[in-house]
Amino acid sequence: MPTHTNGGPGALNSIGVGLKRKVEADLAACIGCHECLQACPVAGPELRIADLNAATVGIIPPSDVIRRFVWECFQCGRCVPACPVGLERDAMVLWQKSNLYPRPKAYADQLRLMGGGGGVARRAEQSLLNLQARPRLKGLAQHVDKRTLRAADTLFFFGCNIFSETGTAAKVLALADYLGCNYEVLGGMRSCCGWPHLLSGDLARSEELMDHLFGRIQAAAPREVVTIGAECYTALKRLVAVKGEAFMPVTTASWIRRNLHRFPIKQVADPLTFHDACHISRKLDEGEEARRILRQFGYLIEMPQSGGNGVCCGYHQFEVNPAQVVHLRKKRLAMARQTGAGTMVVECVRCLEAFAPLADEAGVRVVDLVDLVHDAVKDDSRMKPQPVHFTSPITQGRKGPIPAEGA
Amino acid sequence: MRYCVVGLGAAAAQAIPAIRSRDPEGEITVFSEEPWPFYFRASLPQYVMGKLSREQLWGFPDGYLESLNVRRVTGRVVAVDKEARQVVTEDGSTVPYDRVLLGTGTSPIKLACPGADLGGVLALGRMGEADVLKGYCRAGGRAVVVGGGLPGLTLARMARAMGMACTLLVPEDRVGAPWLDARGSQVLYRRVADDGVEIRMGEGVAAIEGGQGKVAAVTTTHGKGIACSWVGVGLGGMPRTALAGVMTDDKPLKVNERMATDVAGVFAAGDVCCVWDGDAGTHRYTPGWQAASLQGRVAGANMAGGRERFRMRHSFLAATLYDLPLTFIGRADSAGDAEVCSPPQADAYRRLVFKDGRLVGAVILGDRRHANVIRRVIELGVNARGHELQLLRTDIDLNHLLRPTGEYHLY
Ligand SMILES: Cc1cc2nc3c(=O)[nH]c(=O)nc-3n(C[C@H](O)[C@H](O)[C@H](O)COP(=O)(O)OP(=O)(O)OC[C@H]3O[C@@H](n4cnc5c(N)ncnc54)[C@H](O)[C@@H]3O)c2cc1C
Ligand code: SF4
Ligand code: SF4
Repeated sequence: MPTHTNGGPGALNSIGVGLKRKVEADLAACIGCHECLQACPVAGPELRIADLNAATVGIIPPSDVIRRFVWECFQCGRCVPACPVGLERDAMVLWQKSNLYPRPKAYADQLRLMGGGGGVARRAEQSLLNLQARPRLKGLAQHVDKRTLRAADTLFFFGCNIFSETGTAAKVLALADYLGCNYEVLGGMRSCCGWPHLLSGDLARSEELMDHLFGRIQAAAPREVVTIGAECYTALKRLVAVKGEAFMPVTTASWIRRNLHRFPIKQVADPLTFHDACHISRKLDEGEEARRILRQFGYLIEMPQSGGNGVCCGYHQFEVNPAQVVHLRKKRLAMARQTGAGTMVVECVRCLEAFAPLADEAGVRVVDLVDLVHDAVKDDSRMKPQPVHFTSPITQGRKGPIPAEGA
Repeated sequence: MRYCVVGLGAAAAQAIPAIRSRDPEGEITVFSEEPWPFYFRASLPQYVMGKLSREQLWGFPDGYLESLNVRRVTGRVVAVDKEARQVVTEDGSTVPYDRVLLGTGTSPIKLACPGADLGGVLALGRMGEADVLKGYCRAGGRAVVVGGGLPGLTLARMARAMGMACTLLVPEDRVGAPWLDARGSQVLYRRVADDGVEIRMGEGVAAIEGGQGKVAAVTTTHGKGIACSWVGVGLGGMPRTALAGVMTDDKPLKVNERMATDVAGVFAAGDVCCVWDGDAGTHRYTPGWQAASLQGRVAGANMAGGRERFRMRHSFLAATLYDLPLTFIGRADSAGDAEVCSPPQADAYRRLVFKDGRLVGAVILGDRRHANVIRRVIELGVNARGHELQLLRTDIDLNHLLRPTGEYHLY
């Protein structure tokens, strides 16, 4: 099996072509200051830029240290604002992810069920998953992988997050019902946005899924598409930028904020702090929306590393190095605790899944923005009861060599 | 085929693998007067400030040149004998070539005043100079730095970071010249002043006094005497063209788009040369790490029989000074027929220059959000008519301007 195959443009899809051009130009401009690695949550002091750069373009085979770093990279983007000459180390590492084989088994496992197509076996497995999830999803189940969408002003796009045990999807729909919105719902593995594939380096599959999603959304001809995940939101932003402004992508934070005057507000007694989603606050600079809502609900105290300088929950890389990821999450929760806030609020369902299981131990409550609003309205007579419970999606951490695909 | 490469900087570092990948058998000899492996010259300030170790500055993986079967000669080249086709080093030895690359970079511009050769009159262009500078900074006291451009400001920043008092003499009419206009310059000026640097505008060095061969004080062109322990010369560099045989004056060496000079078998790349720009019908000088690397790559490929061209019609220079990111793209000088600016703030300023409805240049101080989109808008000649004011904003997504290309930039 090749260790490094930076294929020519013929082998690349359009994301890959752009990425290759950018990475080649950026590498030539890299002055070796190491600032990117110093800002990085996963790079260790043993990593040297000269080696990393040489491995990025395939002129030396990647060492074990580099391999591990590439696979562990969260694609959180902390390295980008740190670079004094404006380069995007995350893109360089993404390029490596896309060229480095064999891929860790954790990558394959994580992506196996996400996205449509892929033959009978995957479809059968997805159908089984849908069936098993049915009792838990209750009313949501009707939306999973449904074939036809009716036209609606607002489309709630949940993708694979419809299965999230946080119950965020159900709560958002409860809020929409409360407001009496005209909406449609798109969810299930087959409508995955493809962003997780992109972050793992599977560029071709990612683009295929984004294209597919664009087609599905057009069927509902919505004015706005609301998501509960930061990455899904970024995928939608990319779609409208590249394909045309057929609809407006909206985070739950901006959807709530626009409707805030129609929701009751229940003040939270303890101060609140906010954990930024990397894609929303750093990559898209839209972290202010959530903060505006939080200031209505209570007293907001910022953590020292917040906004564009926030730290990643490491969601996608959990399986690659669980011990490291859990350690970083605990550090983050401790940081939240130190502010004196009783509650750490997030605005992405993945951050919630990442932190909530560790919350009790850290002595800080972790909730989604949606939870705050849902709490405020749930006793209102207009609210239909929505039983939601949380169970931990996180298994025990383990540390060891990265298992290769098929291993 | 026999290849000689003179200098081991950014250009040479890219040229060598480019030669080797096309010619696995050829003899490659690289000459460097510095005893070190190839290193990241532009990160020397971080090295002086103790943020990077010497090993972290090495630009190649260990053993890389050996793995490419490259012979390395440490010593200065004094001539390229184009008749005999050989490189002559200072000890008189010669190495024959079929193709030679001149990647000699620049040497710092020197002060021409009395006392300019005293110990403690320092520029920062080499690892050796960085080591000396480190020693002087540790000794404390006051530094006097001359030059308000990026090299001078970098020296001042370094002196402050090392706990020294610092006076900055700016002979030009503004800091950040020639890149920054007056408004952008104000933003930078505030940063420098807030860092505790005493800035003296319109003032240069008239004389340097010393004792026992070392700097003791500076007299400025306004007659002010300033006691100091070292003098930083931050006036930039001059193309290092003093090589008998092929280079005579101190102007950049002219090369075509294939990085070839008009002497048979002689190529040049990096800060030492200016490249023919067919569209503009003139040679253009684009110093900087990125241009040097890209030029080196093209030169190396062509020396080994390739037919590549260097085309960088839009210069790109980015740096961070006083935690303020500075980005200069394309031509923000007199090239345009319209411009828009944002009001200068403590941490941000943007100026965009348009010609015939197309963006041709951008100066971005502070947040680099969308700098990559702006860069592509310039490079691709996208029609930006009607979007002029949008381009000044950081809070809206500008990616739609690139829609025909299918590109998407997150920052
Ligand atoms: C302190 C500092 C900070 C900088 N910061 C930035 C930045 O942030 N961004 C940016 O883009 N650029 C920056 N630069 C500029 C950048 O370093 C240069 O543009 C780049 O190094 C040019 O590469 P080059 O290959 O042309 O020459 P160089 O890297 O200068 O290499 C030339 C080499 O040739 C050797 N040499 C010269 N003559 C001879 C001879 N006769 N015989 C043998 N050897 C010889 C020299 O010793 C040297 O090693 C900075 C430079 C300095 C000094
Ligand atoms: S994206 Fe995040 S994890 Fe990856 S290199 Fe950059 S800072 Fe490190
Ligand atoms: S911060 Fe930028 S210039 Fe410095 S080593 Fe990283 S990519 Fe290179």
